[in-house]
Amino acid sequence: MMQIQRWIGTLGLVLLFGAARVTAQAAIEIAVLLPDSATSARWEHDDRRFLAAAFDVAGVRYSIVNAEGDRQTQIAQAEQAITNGAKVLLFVNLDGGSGAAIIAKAREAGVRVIDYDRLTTQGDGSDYYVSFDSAVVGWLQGEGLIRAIAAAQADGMIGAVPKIAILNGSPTDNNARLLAQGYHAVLRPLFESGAWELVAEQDVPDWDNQQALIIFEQMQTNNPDIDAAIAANDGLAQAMIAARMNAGLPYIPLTGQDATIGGIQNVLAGRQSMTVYKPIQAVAEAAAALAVALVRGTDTSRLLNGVTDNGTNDIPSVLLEVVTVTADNVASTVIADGFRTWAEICVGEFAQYCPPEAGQNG
Amino acid sequence: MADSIKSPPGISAQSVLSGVLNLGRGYVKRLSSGDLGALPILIGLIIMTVVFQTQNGNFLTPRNVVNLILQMAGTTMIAYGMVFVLLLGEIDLSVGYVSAVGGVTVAMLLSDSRTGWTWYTAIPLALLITAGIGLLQGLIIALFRVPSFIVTLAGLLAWNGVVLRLVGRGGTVIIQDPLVIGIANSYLAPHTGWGWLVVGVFVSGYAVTQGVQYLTRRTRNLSTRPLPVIIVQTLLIGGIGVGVVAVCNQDRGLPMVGVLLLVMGVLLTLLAKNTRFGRFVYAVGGNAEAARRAGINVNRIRVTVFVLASTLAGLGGIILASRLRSVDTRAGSGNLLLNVVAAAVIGGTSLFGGRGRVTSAILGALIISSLENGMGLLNVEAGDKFIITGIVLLLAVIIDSLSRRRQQQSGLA
Amino acid sequence: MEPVLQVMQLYKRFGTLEVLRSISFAVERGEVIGLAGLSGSGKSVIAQILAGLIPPTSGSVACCGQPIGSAVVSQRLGIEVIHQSPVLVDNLDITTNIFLGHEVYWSGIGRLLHIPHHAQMDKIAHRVLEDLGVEFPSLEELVVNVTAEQRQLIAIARAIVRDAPVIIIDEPTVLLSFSYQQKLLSLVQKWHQQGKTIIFSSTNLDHLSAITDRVLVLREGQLVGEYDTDLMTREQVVAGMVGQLDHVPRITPVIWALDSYYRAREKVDQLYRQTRLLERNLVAQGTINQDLLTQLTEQVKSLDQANVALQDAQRRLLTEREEERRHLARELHDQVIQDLLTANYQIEEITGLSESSLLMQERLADVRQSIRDMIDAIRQICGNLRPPTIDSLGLSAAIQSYVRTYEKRTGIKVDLKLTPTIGRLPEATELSIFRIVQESLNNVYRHSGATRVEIQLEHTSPRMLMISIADDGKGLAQDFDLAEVSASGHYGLLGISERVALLSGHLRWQNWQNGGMLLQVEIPHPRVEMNLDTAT
Repeated sequence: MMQIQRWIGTLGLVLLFGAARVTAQAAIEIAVLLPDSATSARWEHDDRRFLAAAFDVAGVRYSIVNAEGDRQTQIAQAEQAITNGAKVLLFVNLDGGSGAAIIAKAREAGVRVIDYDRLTTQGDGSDYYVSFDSAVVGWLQGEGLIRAIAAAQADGMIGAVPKIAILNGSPTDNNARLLAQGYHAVLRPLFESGAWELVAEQDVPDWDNQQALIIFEQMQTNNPDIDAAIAANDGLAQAMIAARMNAGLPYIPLTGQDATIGGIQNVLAGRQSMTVYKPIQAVAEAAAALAVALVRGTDTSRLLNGVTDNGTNDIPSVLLEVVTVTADNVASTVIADGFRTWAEICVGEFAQYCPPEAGQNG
Repeated sequence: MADSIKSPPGISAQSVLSGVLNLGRGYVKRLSSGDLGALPILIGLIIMTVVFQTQNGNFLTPRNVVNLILQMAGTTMIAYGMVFVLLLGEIDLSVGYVSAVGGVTVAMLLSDSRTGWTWYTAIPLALLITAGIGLLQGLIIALFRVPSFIVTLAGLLAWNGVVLRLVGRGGTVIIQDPLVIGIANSYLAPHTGWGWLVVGVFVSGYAVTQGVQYLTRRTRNLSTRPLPVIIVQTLLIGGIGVGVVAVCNQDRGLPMVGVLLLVMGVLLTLLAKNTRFGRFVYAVGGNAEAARRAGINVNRIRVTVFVLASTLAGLGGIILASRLRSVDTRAGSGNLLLNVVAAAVIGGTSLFGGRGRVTSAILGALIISSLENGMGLLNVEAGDKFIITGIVLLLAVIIDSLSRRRQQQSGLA
Repeated sequence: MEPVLQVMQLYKRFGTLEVLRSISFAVERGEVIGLAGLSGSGKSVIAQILAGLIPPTSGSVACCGQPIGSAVVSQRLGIEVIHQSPVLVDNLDITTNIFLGHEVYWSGIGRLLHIPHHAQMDKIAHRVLEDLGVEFPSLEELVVNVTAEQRQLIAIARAIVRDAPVIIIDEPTVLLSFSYQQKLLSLVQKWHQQGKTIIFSSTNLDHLSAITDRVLVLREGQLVGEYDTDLMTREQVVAGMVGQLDHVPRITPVIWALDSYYRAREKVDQLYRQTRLLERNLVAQGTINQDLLTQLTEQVKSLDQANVALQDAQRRLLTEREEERRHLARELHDQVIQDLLTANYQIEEITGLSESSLLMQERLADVRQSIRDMIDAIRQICGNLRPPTIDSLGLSAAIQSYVRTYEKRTGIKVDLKLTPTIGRLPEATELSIFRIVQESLNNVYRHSGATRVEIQLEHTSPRMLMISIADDGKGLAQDFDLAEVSASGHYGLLGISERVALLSGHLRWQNWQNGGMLLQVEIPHPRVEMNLDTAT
């Protein structure tokens, strides 16, 4: 019992000092509200790092907090940031409703709001939007598949009317919807003309790869002759590859996105046609630059490059380029940006697919 | 049951008939007293098979049957452990992510061949780690008397975090080790006849056990089921076994992982039914106070069960990773936990403790996986899948609750 | 020698409620200790602390010099507890429950892997339950389906198969019917002979005095007395259990009230038992139950007090009556008979001296004959008033002699079976037993029309004598009520019940199905040496 009491005492002290540090950090200019750390490792691993670096260079006072998936927490964090004097809120909403609530609170207090990588589609919308265009990502996936199929047809590996299967992302994720809009925009004419045949399309709840595996296995059972596929990200693509390998079937043209290590390995090994690389550093730097400009009152028009309709208003936007990664340009994209290293990619059997210079780096 | 179930050794048509009638009566009595046995599962399986097969002829193809075995493997292995936890009247909400820790550990250790890790060092270490997780959670539950629900809920968050940290920003770790991939991807090749040997050993083992049990019970003058019923039941099991192997042999053969499930199922059934530990688990789950008064170290049993469940979860996680040939940040998430609990409960293991069998994990997982498999074939929308799975789970829990109430009532009578 | 159980300065508080205060006692190996006390006095709490189920607030409990810290330790030290209401695992079968925690394993590798030998356990369980006289259709029945009494018997079977050196029995008889209570008592005696150490907690003084060596009396969580069972009186124990007896009101003794008291007492016992049974299902109504129990306890307490007063008066009355009779018998014997004998001699002298007529001689002879008859009659009256043999030769001789004359007098055949171990009992007890036999035989002669009577005297324990009187007469009417017979003038049974009550014994009667009745009387008495094998 004594020990527990001591633990509790220590815990109390830690909490107390922690609280003291938070109060000492008051009077900030920019507050960044990240959504969670569970659905994607990028927020904590990449965005926080790149944003912090950009703010440090600019010399502004800032705070970066994570709501860990809780809407109420995020609203409370926004209120706290406003109380602490933040002039700009850079935030990733957790859903349309809570996002709209945060925007309304900020607007009341005269605080500018930037939607970071996720558009708030309810209410009047935020003041600015900085993101990759998810629709563009999907569009690139569609384009990539067209090229891959053309190549395969040229080799005589695929018939005249290729049969396509699609695994969409989580039905509850807006980005998955935007992605699907992107690749469907490209492929719809082909399906409608009868040049291609869409044999199966399913949503994967929660982006769960284990379920994706089962779903795709069932698609294969129904359609043993699937010729090509789109996966809403590299994880789902890996599930499809596993299903093909488990069934002893050859690889097919397959496109994914996210440029995960596994995705790039698959691309190099020829198991996956392409992936899409979203340079997080670029989007973080663009958002930081916009936020700093807003704090300092400098001209922002030079930074903005478009508008996005959130359903109510047109939101001034910074839309960033995303990059198609194929086996040919791995070195010049993800490796060159420092997003991935040869060392983490060229392990085991994948080393044979790496260019010779990879060995020196790794 | 009633003494009248004994039947004379000479088998005449009449005695068979009366024996079957008596068995029927005994079964009705058991039903009305709340012990439903495997009946709801069989009915459910038959309904599902009929619906799926008529809607889509691919359901009973050899390829799909082999796939079904593979698809249920991970869930079943984790559910084996969950059965023990539920028998205690506890719950382990962390098994999903604990399984992910197992899978991720193996995948990470073997991702780079230069580190010197091999499957025979990585897999034991992964199982040791998951066992350690079970030990930690079990000790907290036992020593601090925190409800297992809370401790494992905390575990669910924490181990999810560990998986995220381990996999990190790489997103996906592809497994290259041929043996680890082989866990879920090797088969007893049809032409070698190993499949027949396995099913032969299993079925004859079952038949011998049943026979010995029948004879010893007769000599001890205990009630037995009539011999014809035992024979029919054994033949049925044998028929199913032979059928499964025959069907699998038309495809890739009987999956190794299916054999693994069978062996673990037999071992764990023996553990639950024929050892002191198993008895103590049932006793603690039935009435912890009575177990305590009998001098059973209740805490030790609790901790051991949580260690067992976590270790089996780790093994299940390795099977899942082997099937996906990779691990990723989403490992252990999604509906894995729900499927595991559902499998155990649908199979007839009570959420209220003390009642259930190891085989319920395999039967329940069969239901859940068939449902998922069949709905996949029918191209059911994600939303509808949730609704249907939800309804099936609810039905299972309602049946559990009803049978529990019935038992209480009949117990009072 | 170190005591087996050592309890030192034991305190137990539940919240602010102090249930045990400064309890200290020690139990030697092979001792049978009784724990007496009303319900709520803390008996069960002591049992549970010794079982390691609840920790003491302060103080120490130790077995064989090792502190009892938990149920596991308690079991390892060889303590088995039969609780007031047994806690069993409902979803397991009878055999598994009996052996839970103490399984019998297969030999060899089976023992190594802890594989229970169920068939072996079934066999043992079957034998043990058979010895207890309980039968189940199948030992594979789940415990959830058996009655409360059967559960208690299963708990007792647990204690038997475990063969624990220390057995604590906490009011197990609440759930047991009479015959099983007797079974348990003889079981305790057997254990006693085997050298086991036993604590037997009960509210039943008969049970306590029948089997224990020493009785500790608890009241409201405190040890208020410790008595050697051979030397204690019931009054002492009751006084200890219920508290002060100085203020007991003197109640006019009304004879039938004693019987009514026992009926009331029986009803209360029954109610108490039913309440106990209900308790299992009435956890939610615990408080109401508690009130009820408290009320019952109060009632029993006041009834106990009334009874003590009543018995006091009644005993005085009976003793005075016996004194009176003895006095009368002595008067008759020493005075009247001597006078008559003197008169007889004088008449003989007169006959020898006188030369009177033959007629006179004949008359005198007639007078002498009638004097002799008169002396015989008076001798018989004396015998009835005070059996002459009882003071000199003891109870057995007195009964035998009385039976012989009774057979001669009435022509009813009497089959007498006396256990040789009766020995000499206190005078009052011997006399009472004799009177009971006497009254019973008179009843048989007067009312039953029987031709045969069987009388049996035997010990059910070293401190309990059972008198059974069976006849083949017409038995008692169905609606027979002892309280009403006094009105109709039949004092026979009433007198017996009165004497039995004063000796704190029990009276039971029942009609045989094919005629005749059985009267059973149990009388407690100071310990006698007896050979258990001859007892039931």
